[in-house]
This record gives sequence, C-alpha cells and structure tokens, in this order.
Amino acid sequence: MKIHHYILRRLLLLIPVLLGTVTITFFLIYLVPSNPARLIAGPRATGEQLEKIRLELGLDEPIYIRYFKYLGRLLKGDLGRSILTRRPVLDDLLTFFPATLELTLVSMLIMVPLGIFFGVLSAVKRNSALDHIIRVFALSGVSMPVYWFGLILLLVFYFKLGIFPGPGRLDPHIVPPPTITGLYIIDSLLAGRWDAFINSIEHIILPAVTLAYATTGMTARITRSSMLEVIGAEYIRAAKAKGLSPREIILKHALRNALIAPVTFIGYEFGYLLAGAVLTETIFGWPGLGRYAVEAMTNVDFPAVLGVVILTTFVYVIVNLIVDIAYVIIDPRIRLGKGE
Amino acid sequence: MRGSELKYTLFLIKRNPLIMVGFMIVGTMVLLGVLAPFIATHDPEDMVFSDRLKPPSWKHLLGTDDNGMDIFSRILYGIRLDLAIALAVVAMVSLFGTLLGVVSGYYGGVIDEVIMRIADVFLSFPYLLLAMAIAAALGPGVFNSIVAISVTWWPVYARLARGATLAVKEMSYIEASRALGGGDLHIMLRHILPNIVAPILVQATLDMGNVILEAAALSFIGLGAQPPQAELGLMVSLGRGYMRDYPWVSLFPGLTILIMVLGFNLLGDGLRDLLDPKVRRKLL
Repeated sequence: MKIHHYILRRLLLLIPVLLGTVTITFFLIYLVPSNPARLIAGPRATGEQLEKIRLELGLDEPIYIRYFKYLGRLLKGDLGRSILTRRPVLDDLLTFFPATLELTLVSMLIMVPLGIFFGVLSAVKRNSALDHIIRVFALSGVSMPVYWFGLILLLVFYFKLGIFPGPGRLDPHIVPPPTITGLYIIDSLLAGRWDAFINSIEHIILPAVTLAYATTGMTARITRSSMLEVIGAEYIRAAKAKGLSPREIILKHALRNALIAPVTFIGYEFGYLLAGAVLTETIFGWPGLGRYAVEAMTNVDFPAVLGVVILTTFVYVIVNLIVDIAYVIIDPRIRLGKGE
Repeated sequence: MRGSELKYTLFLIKRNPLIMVGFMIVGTMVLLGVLAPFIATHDPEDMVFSDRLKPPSWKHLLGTDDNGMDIFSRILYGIRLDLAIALAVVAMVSLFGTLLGVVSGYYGGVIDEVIMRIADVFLSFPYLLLAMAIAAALGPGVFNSIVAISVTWWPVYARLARGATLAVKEMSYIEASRALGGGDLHIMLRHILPNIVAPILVQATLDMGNVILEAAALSFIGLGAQPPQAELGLMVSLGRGYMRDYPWVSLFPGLTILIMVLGFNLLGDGLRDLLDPKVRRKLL
C-alpha cells in the first residue's frame, strides 16, 4: 500500500470514529439524567422557569429528533448556545482553547526531552540505584493526584519562596499582547512585548511542570524498555566489536532506533495531558478549556459540556492520526500490510 | 499454575523489593480502611467550630480543617470510602468487560465487530473527561461517580479478554470439550474464563490505583462525594483556600492518595513483569 493510500484510508476511518464519539456523548449526556431541566434549574425553580429551559434545550422533542438536529447543526459548525455564558459554544471554545494549547505544548517541551533523558539514563545504568530512583519517580508520577501536586508547587514556590508568580496567565498589571495565535508567549514575541513575554513564561512554568510530571515518567519508562531491547540487538554488538565508544554507540546507533516507541506514545500522552489540564487549570486559575469544562460540568451546562468533550476528542483523535502517519514515515520497517 | 510454578513465583515476589513495598502499602491501607471505626479518634463528620484549623497535636494527630473536623479520622474513613469505590468499579468493569470480551472473541464475526468498534470509540475519548461529563449529567454523588467511571472503563477489559480468548480458543482442550458435547456457555465459563483470569487480575490490580485517582479527581472538582463526606479528593479540594497558612488541611489527604495509589502501582507493575514470560526469564 502506498503512503498516500494509507493516509486517505485513515482519514476516511476518522468519519465513523468521530460520528461514534458524538453519538455516544450525546446520548450519555441527554439520556442519563431523568430530568435535565430540573438539574439545570436547581431544586427551587418554578414550573415556569423549568418550562423555559425545556424549550431552550428543545427537550419537548423526542431525543432522536434532537440528535439528528444536533448532527445537522454540527456539520455547519454550530454547537449550540451555552446556558451559562449565553454565547455560542463554539465561540467559547475558541476563546478558551489557545490557553490550554499553550499549556499543553509547554508541558510537552518539558516532558519529551526530560523523559527521554531519564529513560536512556536508566537503561544504560540498568538495575543501578539510579535506575531504581527513576523507576520510583516514574511510578509516583502516574500515582500523583495532579491537583495536589500543583497545590504543593504553589505552596513552596509561590507562597513560601516567592520565586514564581501565582495563578493566571499574566500579572494583573500587564496588558495581554494583541491576539494573533492566542498563545501569549508567541503573541508577545510577535508584538515585541518583552514584559509580557517574560511574565507569561514565568506564569506558565508551575502549571506546565505540574501537568508534565506524570507523562515524563511514562516517557522515561517507555524509552527505557525500548532502549533495552535495542541494546541487545545484533547491530549494537557489531558496533561494539568495531571498537566504537559506548557514548557513540548509545547516541548514534541505539537512541535513534529506540526513539520510535516513545514518539508513537506521544499521541496517547497528549490525551492524558488534555484531561490533566482540566485539573491543573482549576488549581492555577488558568483560563483554558479545562476550567471552562469544570464550570460547565458543575453548572450542568449540557451544550457546553458536549462541546468540550467533542472538541477534545477531535483534537485527540487527530493528533493520534498525525502521530501514526509520522510513525509510518519515520520507520520504513512498518509494513503497510493488507487489512491494516 | 502448578505447585512448583507457584513456589517459583512466590520466590520471585520475595526477591523483588518493589513488589514487597507495594504489597505492604496496599496491605496497610486495606487494614486502615477496614479498621477505620476502631482506629479513628473522632467522628469523621463531627464539626467542632471551636477547634477550627488547628495544627497537628496530640488531640488532633493531623490537625483539623476549617469546619473543625479531625483530619486523621477523616483520612481513615476516606481510605475506606475510596477503596470501596475502587473495588466496586473494578469488580463491575472487570466482570462486565471480561464477559463482553469473551463473547466477542469466542463467537467472532458480527458480534465481535459490533462490540469491539463500540469499545474503540470509548477508548478514543480522553477517559477522565468523559467520566466527568457523565458524572455531571448524573448529578454529583458517590454512587453516580462509580457509575460514571465504570461506563468509561469496561473497554479495557473487553479488549484484554478478547485477545486472551482468541489465544485460548484454538487449544486442543477446547476442542476436546466440544467433542464431549460441551455447549458454548459451558466452554466459555468452565474452560476459557479460568485460563484468562491471570492477566485480568493484574489489570484489575493496576486499575485499583487508577480508579482511586479518578474517583478522587471527580470529587475534587465537585462531581463526586459531597461535603461533609470523608473522601480524600474532596478533602484536598476543601483545603485549597487554606493552602498558604494551614497547609495540613490539603497536604495529608493528598499524600494519602499518592501513597495508596503508588502502592497499587508498585504491586501491579511488579505482577505484570512476573507474569510476562519474556521478562520472567530476565528476573532470574
């Protein structure tokens, strides 16, 4: 199979997956509660208020009609109107998404090099004390309640030491840079606003480290096991026999092949980061999608909840698609076989 | 597993310090949870407003929160509640998911396609987010958070059980059973299920930790347990505003979650290595 056939096939396969996602979320969210209007309006609402909400959500129609109407509007990019903000959900999502994207990207910038470094280190020094320390670090990362770790970082580095600024994307007295990409770090660079540039970096470090901890550990573990596999391979023994230094063998021969596994895993980790962002943003007052999601969920703002889940899943599925395609391009050994 | 195999596995377990640490942590936590009513020094939901935000002392071992509730006692009951939630979820999803997976693998064809494609869609969600959305739709509460997590978690087991079933299905003893007149149900329950239990148990151990994390996270954002219930994630959340001056309110409950989940992960990680024949040889 040619590579562009593979890409085309994968793109076509996206359609049923995305449709499935929308369908499952829609029915789970609207079928589950016995009385959504009551849930939204609260226990003290009058019959009149309930009726208003029922009409607004279209609850007077049967669910399958609402489902097809929703799909129809979705195709036109209309995700409905948020009950809480009274704005179109899509506008809300576009407002909040850049902050989350920025946070996730900076987390990846921390996680990928650090995770690979730790992974290589623990593979090379296999079964040493260092290896065990890295293993415990990695396991504690996936065992950590993210929000609690964020609180600890705030306590130490903001309240006690005062090294890093507190919640938010910028200090209150700093004017945000003009919006181009929505990522403050990049926008302030483009506008030549050094104060905003430095300040936004200072603000993003604690939340990004919080978010990156778990996935750094995962990356380290995967790099380690893939390194160990490669180190045992014939061509590494051949390189040793040629008399290359261990440093050269690790960096030039082993690492390049061992990196394939952690790179393909990045797609999965990206999903982990997106979900982790919900909790991290809550702690750090980060005005992103995660905080919007929590607001929407605790206020039973169904259209907004549905919008967030759909958008996040779309992003997640597409990132995974890109990773899969990159994987096929990077590694010529992957056979684009029949059926796959 | 034969007798000598079992002995050998026990030998490997004893030689592996990380499994032992994990085992001890989990054992201690289970003990603390079960014995919570006997160890607790106070009623976990008893508010004494004259004792608000007291630092750790002999009267309140880990201090008190902003409602004057004893944190030590609340942590014990929190361990109990979170273990119970995790057990309920894991029991439910491993049973339900495994059955679906066995049916899927055993019959193949259309049934397999339908079950696995649905599982695929569930697996393509960032699962915490989906669980949060469902919990929000159900309304807050411990029971609802158990349901919400379970709905998102079964596909893992369905996939695992399906794969294992496919491997076992072609064995000659299955054929023998069929030749002797064994029906589908008989074969699935008596011959396939017992032979795929090991990987499912390991997954369940690993998942205990993950489910605790997720249940605590749901409570933290207000979609799980409600105040004044003693739940660890909720306790971290309630102490958030007091982090600067009264850090113990959030500190100890969060630390308990970390230790408990780490224990399950150490245990599960080690067990997985032990049951993997490739790794097993290297452990010698």
